[in-house]
Amino acid sequence: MIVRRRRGILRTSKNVDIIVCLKRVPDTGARVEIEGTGVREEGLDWVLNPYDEFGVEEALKIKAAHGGKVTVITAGAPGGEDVLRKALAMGVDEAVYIKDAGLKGADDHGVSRVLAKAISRTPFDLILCGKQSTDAQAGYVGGALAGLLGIPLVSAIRELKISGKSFEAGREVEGGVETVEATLPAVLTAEKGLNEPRYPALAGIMRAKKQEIKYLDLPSLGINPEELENPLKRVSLTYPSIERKGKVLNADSGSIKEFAGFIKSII
Amino acid sequence: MIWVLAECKGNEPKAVTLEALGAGRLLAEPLNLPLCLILPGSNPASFARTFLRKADKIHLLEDPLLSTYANDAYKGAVTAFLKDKAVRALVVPGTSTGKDLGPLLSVSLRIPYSQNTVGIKVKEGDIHLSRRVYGGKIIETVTTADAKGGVIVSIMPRAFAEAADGKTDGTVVSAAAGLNEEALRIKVRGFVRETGQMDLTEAPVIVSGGRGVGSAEGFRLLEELAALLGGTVGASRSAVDAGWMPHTVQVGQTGRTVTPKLYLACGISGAPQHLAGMTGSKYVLAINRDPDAPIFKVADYGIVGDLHKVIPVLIEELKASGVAKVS
Repeated sequence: MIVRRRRGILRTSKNVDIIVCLKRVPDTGARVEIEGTGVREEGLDWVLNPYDEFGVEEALKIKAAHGGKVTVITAGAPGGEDVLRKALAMGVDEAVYIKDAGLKGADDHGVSRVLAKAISRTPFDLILCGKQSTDAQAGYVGGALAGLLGIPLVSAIRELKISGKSFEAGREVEGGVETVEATLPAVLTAEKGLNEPRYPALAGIMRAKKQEIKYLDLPSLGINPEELENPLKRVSLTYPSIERKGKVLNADSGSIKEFAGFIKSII
Repeated sequence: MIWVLAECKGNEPKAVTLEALGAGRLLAEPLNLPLCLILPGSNPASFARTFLRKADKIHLLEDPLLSTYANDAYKGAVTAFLKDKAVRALVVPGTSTGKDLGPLLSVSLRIPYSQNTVGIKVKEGDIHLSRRVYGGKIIETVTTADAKGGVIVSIMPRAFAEAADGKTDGTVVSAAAGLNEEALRIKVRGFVRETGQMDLTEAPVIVSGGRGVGSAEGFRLLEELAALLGGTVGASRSAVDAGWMPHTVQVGQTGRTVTPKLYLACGISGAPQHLAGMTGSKYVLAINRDPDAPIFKVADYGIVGDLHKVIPVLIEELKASGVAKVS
C-alpha cells in the first residue's frame, strides 16, 4: 500500500498512475529534405516516436499488473492527435494535447517546461518517455522533466520491476546492463528491447476514434510564449557529405587479396 | 571558462575524456579562455597527472559517493561545484553517462544542452555547434541565443581528435563534492556484461551483417572475421527483425550510431535508416551481391559477390598476411 500526501490529497492506493510523453516524428524510412532553414514537412509520413511506443507498452503492462490510470500527453503545433489516437487504440485511458501556435518551433527546452507545468497539475506515480526521439535525437525531455519536477531519473531502461513504491530498472550502458534501484515517483526513459509494443486491435482503433482528447494551451498553463524562446538558435541545416568515391570490384581471388591488403593497411 | 567533465570507468578515466578535452580546446583557444577539467571520483588524484599537459587547471571532485556513476550524486556534485562559476561551455562525452547527466545539469545549471555534436567552431566570438539530427541524415548548426551564454556540449564519441599535449602545465586543485548520502535516491546495484561482447560504440572494428547473411548461423562467419580483426559484430534492422541477432547490436537510426575505424558491411543494401548509423565511420567497406546496392556509394572499398564465399577467402588472406588486431 502506498500512502502518500501529494498536492494536499491523501492517496491510499497500490495503483500506479502513469503519464507517458509522446512525440510525433517523421517515419525513419522517410527522405528528409531541407527547405529554407527548416525541413520540408509536406509529403512526410508521421508516426509515433518508436521509443515512446515502448513507453506506452510498458505503461499498459504495469497497469495490467498493478492497476492504475495511464495518461498520454503531447505538446506541439498541429498534428498531435494522430499519435494520441494511436496510444488510445493501444489501450491507454486518457489523452492530453497541449496545442498552441506558440509551440511552433519550440525546441526540447521549451517543450520540457510546458510538459512539466502540465504534469505538475496531475497526480502521478511514474512518468515514462522514450529515451530519445528519432528526429532531434536529443534525449532531453526525460532528464529535463526529472530535473524540473525534482524526482529521480533512470534513463535508457531495458528491464523494469515495480514492487510497491520501489522499482528496479536495467539501464543500457556501454557493454552491458546496469541495475539501478530507486523509488516512485520517478521518470524512466525507454530503450529498445524493453518490450514488444502491441498492435492496436480493430476494436481499439474504433474506440479511440470516439474517445475525447483533453486540450490545453499555454495561457491555461500560465505560460507566456515569449518565455519559450529557444536558448539555442539554428544557424543552418546542411546535408552531410556521406558519399565516398570508393573502388568496387567483382569478387575473385585477386580482388579479395587486394581487399585484404586494404584492410591490413588501415588497421 | 571552458569546462570538460571527465568520464571514468571504475577509477580510471576513459579515452573519450581526451576527445572531450580535444573538443574543449577548439573552444578555449579561439575564445581565449582557460580549459579546465573536472575529475570526479573516489580517488581522482591518482590519475590527474595523465591530464597535466592537456588542461590549464584540473579540479578534483573527490568523494567516496562518486566511485560509481549515479546521476543524482554526479548532478549534485557538479552543480554545487559549477553553480557560482562562469561557464561558457561544459563539454561532456556523449556516452550513456553523458546522455543521462547532460539534461539534468542543463536544468540544475540553467544552461541549454546540445547533443550529438560532431563539429565545433568559434565565429566572431559565437560558439557554433554542428550536430547530427534525423539520424545523421542532416547536420544542424546552432549557436547560443544569448551571445555570451553558456552551453552544455555533448560530443559524439570519436568525432573529435584526442587532445594533444599543449604548452600548459596544468595545476591540480581539490574541490569538495559536498554530497549528503541521505539525499541520494538512485542506488546502483550491479552491472551485467553482455555475453562476451565488446560494445559497438567502443569497438575499433565492426563487421556488420544484413539480410544477405541469411540466418543466425550465418553470423558465425562474421564473428570469426570480427574476432580476427579485434572487433565485434553489428547488424542491420532486417537482420535484427528476422531474429538472427539481438537488438543491442543493431546499427542505424533506431539502433546504435557507430563510428569505428573500420566498418565492414556484409549483405547490407544500405537503406537510409542504416546509413544514418554508420557513415561517420573512418573507413567503410562493403561486400554485397548487388552491384547497385546503395552501400557501395558510401564505401571506400567494395566487393561485389556472395559474402558466404568471399568472407572465408578473406579470412584466409588476412591470416596469411599476418594481420594484427587493432589496438
